[in-house]
Amino acid sequence: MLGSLVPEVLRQLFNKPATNLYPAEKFPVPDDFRGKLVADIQKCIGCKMCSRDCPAEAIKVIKQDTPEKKFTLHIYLDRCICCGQCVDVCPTKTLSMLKDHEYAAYSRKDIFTEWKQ
Amino acid sequence: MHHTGDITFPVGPQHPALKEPEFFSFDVDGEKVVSADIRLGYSHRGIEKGCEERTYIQALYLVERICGICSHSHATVFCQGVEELMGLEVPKRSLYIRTIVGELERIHSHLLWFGVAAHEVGYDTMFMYSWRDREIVMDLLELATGNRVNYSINTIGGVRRDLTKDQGQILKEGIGEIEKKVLYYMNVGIQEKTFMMRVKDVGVISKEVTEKLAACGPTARGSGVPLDARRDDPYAAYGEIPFEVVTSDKCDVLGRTLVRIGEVLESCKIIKYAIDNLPEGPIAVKAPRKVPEGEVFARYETPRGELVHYIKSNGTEKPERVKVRAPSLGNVMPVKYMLEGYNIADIPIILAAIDPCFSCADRMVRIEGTRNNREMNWQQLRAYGINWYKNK
Amino acid sequence: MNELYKIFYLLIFPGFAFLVVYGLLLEWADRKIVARLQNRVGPPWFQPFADFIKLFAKEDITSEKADRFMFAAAPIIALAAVLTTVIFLPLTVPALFSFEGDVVVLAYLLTVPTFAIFLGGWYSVNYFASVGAMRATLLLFSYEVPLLMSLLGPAILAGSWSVSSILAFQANHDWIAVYQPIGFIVALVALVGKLERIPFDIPEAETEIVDGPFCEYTGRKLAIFRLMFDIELVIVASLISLFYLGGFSYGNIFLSALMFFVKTFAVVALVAAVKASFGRIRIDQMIGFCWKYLVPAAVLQYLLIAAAKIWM
Repeated sequence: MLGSLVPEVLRQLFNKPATNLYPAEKFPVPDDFRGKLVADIQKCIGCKMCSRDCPAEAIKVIKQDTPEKKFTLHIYLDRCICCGQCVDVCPTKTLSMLKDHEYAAYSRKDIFTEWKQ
Repeated sequence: MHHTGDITFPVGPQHPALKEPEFFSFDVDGEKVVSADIRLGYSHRGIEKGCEERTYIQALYLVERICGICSHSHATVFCQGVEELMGLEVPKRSLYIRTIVGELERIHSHLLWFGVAAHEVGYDTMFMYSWRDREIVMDLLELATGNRVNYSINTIGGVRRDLTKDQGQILKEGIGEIEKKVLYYMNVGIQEKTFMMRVKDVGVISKEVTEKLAACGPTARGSGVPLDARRDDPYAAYGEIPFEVVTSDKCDVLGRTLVRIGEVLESCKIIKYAIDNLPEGPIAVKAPRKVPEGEVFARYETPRGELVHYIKSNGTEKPERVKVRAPSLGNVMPVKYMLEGYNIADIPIILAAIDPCFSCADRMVRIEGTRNNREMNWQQLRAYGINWYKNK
Repeated sequence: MNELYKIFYLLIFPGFAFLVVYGLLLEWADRKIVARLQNRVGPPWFQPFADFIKLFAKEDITSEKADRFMFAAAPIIALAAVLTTVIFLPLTVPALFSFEGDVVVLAYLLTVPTFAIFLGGWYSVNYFASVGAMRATLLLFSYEVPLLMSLLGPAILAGSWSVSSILAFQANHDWIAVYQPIGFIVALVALVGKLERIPFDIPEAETEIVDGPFCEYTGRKLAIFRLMFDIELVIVASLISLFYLGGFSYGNIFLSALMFFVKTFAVVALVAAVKASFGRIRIDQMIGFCWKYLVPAAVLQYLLIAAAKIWM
């Protein structure tokens, strides 16, 4: 029937707009959101399970040249798809994901992170 | 200047009516469409080849990104196939969680479709309202899975995250709100005369022709053909949850609209039942890395129709062949018949009524025929393409 | 002194400069109201000005097969016709020229933009543009008769074919909308068709024929077409206010200006509410609707006027 939407439309004049005025107001994300990948490097044992399972080849585990076993993690955040498979498969809980999702950068060098033991 | 009469009217590959690139060319006479010709293949990305070079767990994340709207469907059906190849018994709790996320995805996809269809007929207010309500579902999915799109909740052997009691409560409240709004759309929103005038008796295709042309999903159910993979071949938790298969015998775009809105209400009921009866237990079993030899056919009912994955394994860590048949490939053939005899103004809404997702559908098809067959490998194909554009 | 006043009238107020600025402001009002009705925020007040300036900065492309002269002339003809109407309209100050029959001249001048759109679409040789151009003409065929009939109703009541006399009639009596409510509604619906807005924006259907006749227009020419639509909004809102809602000449300059803004804003709000509530209908449904419902309503209004005149 003609004009069946009119009552709802006129009611919207008294409602607050449903738009979120990003970036002036930011919406909170839930606690276990899959965001930026970070490493608690002291726990790493160099098993390379994360590097083997990553679908995007975004993690490289490098053994340092020192006599004791020390490892460096190279994380390419521009390749990471935030799937969280590396976090699931790591046996020592080295890797974790923050709630941060606004980490864009202007060049690949700025978004490359390195964690050294 | 050109003369009227039979003009060929191209739509695509880029056109505001199409959300994804495909090419249609219509022979029109004034404003009436005489015949239609379809060409696909603009979204081919080589995903099936990509799956052959990755391990199963890496291929799972690749397959999930075939489509943004039905991403959980692709991931689930892949997992179902691989789990059957391995002979794994997946715990019941994970099956229920997969069902809950799958139905949330169905609600999100149908609300998106409703907004897009309203926009195609110029009914912009409904577009804004339904996408505003879709945000409720996106927030629920973000709470349950950790991301708004590409949920990645499946893993081979179960799911990766558990659903706590609090999260279940929040989900039920959100679903209650969605139910109220969708009932409003069904009773008031689509009853608007200017919308009804555009969808009633438009794109009519009879029940017999639909059955013959391999249509599936709401396109088939809107013409009275009760095909639903959840009922015909129950997977996940659908064998234990009672639900109705929504059909409509109007056979036009209005029928498909009613089927989709009815399915949203059914999904709300399924989610509430699943949360109330969530069984206790583990959420995953450990899966081996190497898959024994075999081949499997796995089915799933996506929001667009029946999705089929064929997986062939050869005992190693990487699959030998993954073939994906998306529902949009089956639904695109009836479009040719639906378009004949209608106006140019009806083209966008008829195309939108099958809910086209050509990113899912663009795969390689090998046709053996009598005309010149040629097989090319990767380097030859690349050289051929470069030469073709140089000589153009 | 008289010549200076005429130049001021034509160029500043209520001529070119005022129409451009107020047209862009009314476009903002329309977009903001539609956005709020759709539960969104809407653009800031300077958005139409920014769009206009941005379009002037874009490259101006004419396709090879298109007729260069007609392609460039179409937007200018449309804008010129719409700007000329202001000479006959008493917007808070008396009209520059006013004679018996200027209602007919107004109706003629308002038809010219539609033909200019048709020419622009036809001479840019493009499938979508020619379909849009044909639809624009079909649309003209359906809403033109109810529009003329509803504009001539007040003329019959006031006994004169001059806009200023119709205004003078309303100064002594009530608003004509009170005497002719059916004519008022027919005028509103037909003028939504004239402005080519939802539910009648068939020539420019964005999802079907990619903006129809304006498909090939870029840069300055597109800016002029868009400006033509905005100024047409001002003219149409003023027309409805003058013919049906009592006009804006109250003696006191502040009261007249206030009533001008209030009445045109009210008409634009009504038209925006219509845009937010309906969908777009097809061209064959539009022709059916206009000839089956609008024209009989206008004829009914005429019968009522005739009956009233016989009794009085």
